[in-house]
Amino acid sequence: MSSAVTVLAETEAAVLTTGRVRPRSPLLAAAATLFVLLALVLAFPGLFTAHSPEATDVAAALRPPDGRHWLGTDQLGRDVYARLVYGTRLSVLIAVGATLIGVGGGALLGLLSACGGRRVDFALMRIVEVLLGFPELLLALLVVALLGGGTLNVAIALGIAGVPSYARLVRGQARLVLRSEYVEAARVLGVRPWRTVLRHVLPNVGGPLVVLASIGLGSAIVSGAGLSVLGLGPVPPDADWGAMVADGKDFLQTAWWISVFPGLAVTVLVVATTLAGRRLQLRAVR
Amino acid sequence: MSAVGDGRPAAGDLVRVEGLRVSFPGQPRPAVDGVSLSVAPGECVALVGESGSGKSVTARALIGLAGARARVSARELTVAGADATGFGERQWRSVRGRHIAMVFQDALVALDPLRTVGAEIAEAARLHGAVGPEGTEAHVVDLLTRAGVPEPEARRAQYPHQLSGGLRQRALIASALAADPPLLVADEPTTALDAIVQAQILRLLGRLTESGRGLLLISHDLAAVAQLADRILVMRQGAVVESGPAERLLTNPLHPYTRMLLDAVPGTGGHGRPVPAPKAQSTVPAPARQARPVRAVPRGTARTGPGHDRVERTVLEGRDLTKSYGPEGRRALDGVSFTLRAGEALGVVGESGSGKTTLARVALGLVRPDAGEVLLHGRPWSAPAERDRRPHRAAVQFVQQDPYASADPRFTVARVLGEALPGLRRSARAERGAELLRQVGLPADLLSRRPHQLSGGQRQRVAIARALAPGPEVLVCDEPVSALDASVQAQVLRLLDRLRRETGVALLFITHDLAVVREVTERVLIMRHGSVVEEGGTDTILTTPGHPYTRELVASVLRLPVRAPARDGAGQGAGEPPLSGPVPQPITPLRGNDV
Repeated sequence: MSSAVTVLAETEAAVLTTGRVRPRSPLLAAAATLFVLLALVLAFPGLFTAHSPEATDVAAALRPPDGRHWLGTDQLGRDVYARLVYGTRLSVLIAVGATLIGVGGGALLGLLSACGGRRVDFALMRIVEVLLGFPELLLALLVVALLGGGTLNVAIALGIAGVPSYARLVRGQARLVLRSEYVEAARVLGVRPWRTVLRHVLPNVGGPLVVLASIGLGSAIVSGAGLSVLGLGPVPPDADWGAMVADGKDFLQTAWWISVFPGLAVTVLVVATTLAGRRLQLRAVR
Repeated sequence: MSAVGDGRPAAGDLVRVEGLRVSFPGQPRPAVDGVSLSVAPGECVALVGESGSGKSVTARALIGLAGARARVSARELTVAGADATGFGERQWRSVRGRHIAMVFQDALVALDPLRTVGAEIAEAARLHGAVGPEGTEAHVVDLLTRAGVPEPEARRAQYPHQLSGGLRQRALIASALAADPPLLVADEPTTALDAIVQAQILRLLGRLTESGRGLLLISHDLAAVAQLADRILVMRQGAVVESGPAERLLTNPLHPYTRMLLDAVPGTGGHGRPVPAPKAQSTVPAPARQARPVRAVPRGTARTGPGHDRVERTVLEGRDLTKSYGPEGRRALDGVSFTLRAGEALGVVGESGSGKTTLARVALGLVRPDAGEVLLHGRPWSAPAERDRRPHRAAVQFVQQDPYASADPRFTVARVLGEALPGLRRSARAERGAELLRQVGLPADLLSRRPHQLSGGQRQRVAIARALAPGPEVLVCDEPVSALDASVQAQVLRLLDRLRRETGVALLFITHDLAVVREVTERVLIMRHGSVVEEGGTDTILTTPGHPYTRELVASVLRLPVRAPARDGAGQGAGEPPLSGPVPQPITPLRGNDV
């Protein structure tokens, strides 16, 4: 009998302590470290490698990873590690640019659709639905075909391809907010519509949008690399990670390191951003 | 299945719990702390308390449904004659439905929307082996009949959304009865229902106890409970503060909290204006809606608030308002007219679907009527474009039903109020905000809080302060207290009444609750199916309702038994003494609830 009491007391104590201390995921900690590292690489790539990404050395071509060239060299004798470090900038730039364009365009379309009356909504949403019918990458390819390749155009293409899904999210959230009682209260107070959008709708849509964007960042990295693999991305000698993967495709049998390490970099970055995005999502739900 | 014998307990209680304690991780206090109760066959025990008192958690713990995270323990827990302290999920499942069945508050959520009510009930019956495959249909019809569902053969094949709220609740009760359980646990079974339907469902539950079933009734509503309960337990903050035979507890409450709850029942003792029993009571089913509005009091003779000089001036007037919704053109408003004079309080009473909320929205200029118009100070109010109405919006303000949704969750109280105070400098706005809060009885330091940090009553006060900020002449209140606990309800009603007297604002007060309308209004419109069936002075209409529908409405107001004058702390010999602190005894944790 008395043991039952102590058991209960103990479980309660355990509940109290675990209730307060949230278990930290080691993966999340790794992702956080990675982001700090990434920021440093973006700001000061020179700190991370003594090699130049563009210095060719035909004598040292296709060397496997060793003490001098950590990740080996490519067919022109360029240091793969150095190219990876300098390529980070382009890869991240494309992904962030694409996400910003997607979020911005999506927010604009979504708000227009939600606030612009029934006809505007109908027209915009039919367009969005048609666009959503295409895979994002295909849509981006279409835009690149129209605009031509290159770093900026890839970012724009991916951004446009992302607009429909952001627009849908923003429209849905905005409609919820517009139907809310606090927006009704604002209307009764005589607050002008555009003010209501700025004060109530945008901030309340912003949270879910940031969450979706942080997850979307991951897919933008993959899609960006994908377009670069197809040779539509940055123009040589500039190379993002996708272009590096493409560079090595003829040497996969003999010099796997040229393609594999950039591919790994893409994977790690995507996993990290997705993890962080999910975490944000969970926090938003709570 | 083995732990619980098939036979009912030979004698004694259907359920018995001693020293029940339920806690949730992360909560500083246990949700339920030391509750003891029992229900005998044919007995109705009521668990009464305000939101957060732990009454629902108690009920759920008794059927092993306290939730995955709950920690449940008790000195004794006997269900259907078996010791349930060690029950696992399997054993609980064999008890639920067979020995104890639960009736939930919201039948629309509790019933599967994709299945007919007949299928729902049949499943419950088959699950517990109450019938074989052949007898199912007849059994379902029999159950629906016992639950008072008219035309059970036809209703059986309908889906929950095709039924009215009252019929849904009856169907839910029928499915709870499927396996003929000796004990029913009903958690707020009538809270979501209109007054007339509520009275019917309470009568049905009463018949079930008369036939020998035990009933554990959970409710926030002492007036509803008073109709049925043999014994009442009053809960507060997880503990029972008073318990005893219903009659004694209702007429001679010992604990101050019980007394406060009784006082808070609208239309009773609190302000000495109980809803009187109608003189010409009649239970005639409501007749055709073509019945002409009965004017109980000629216009203009209503007694009003402070200044009689204001009486004659009409602020807001609705003329022949009509509004339809949907493709079939369901008439939400069908030729409704009203006049609201300066400083007056006009009640609009009706059940759900009567069009009263549409009337509020039309009066606010949020919805444009299909025909007819609203005039503000004799000038068009509903007709102009929103842009032209906006500059005059300050004159007509709004207090909404749900204080949990009426403020932007990201805003602080200061910003919520600030939105209603445009064109003021920051410091002036803060000063005015504090003043408004004082006016509604809140401390100024709430200005920095966000809505989720406030209680329901505080939020509603903030909403009222916001509505007062522009200095309105009309305050449209749409069910402003129906989302609040009874004691808070009374406070908010008093506040609205006081503000009307202080500021001279006119109230258009929408409610389903006759008792509430009695507290704050002097004139009332009774609405049904989008039309006004009766109009007149509140007292007159409540005492001598003219229209049969009004009579039925007045008759359905639940009354408390007449109470003995409160004698502080003295209540000798009447029933059980109030439960005091928990008796220290060994506690056994219940496994079943930890799953």
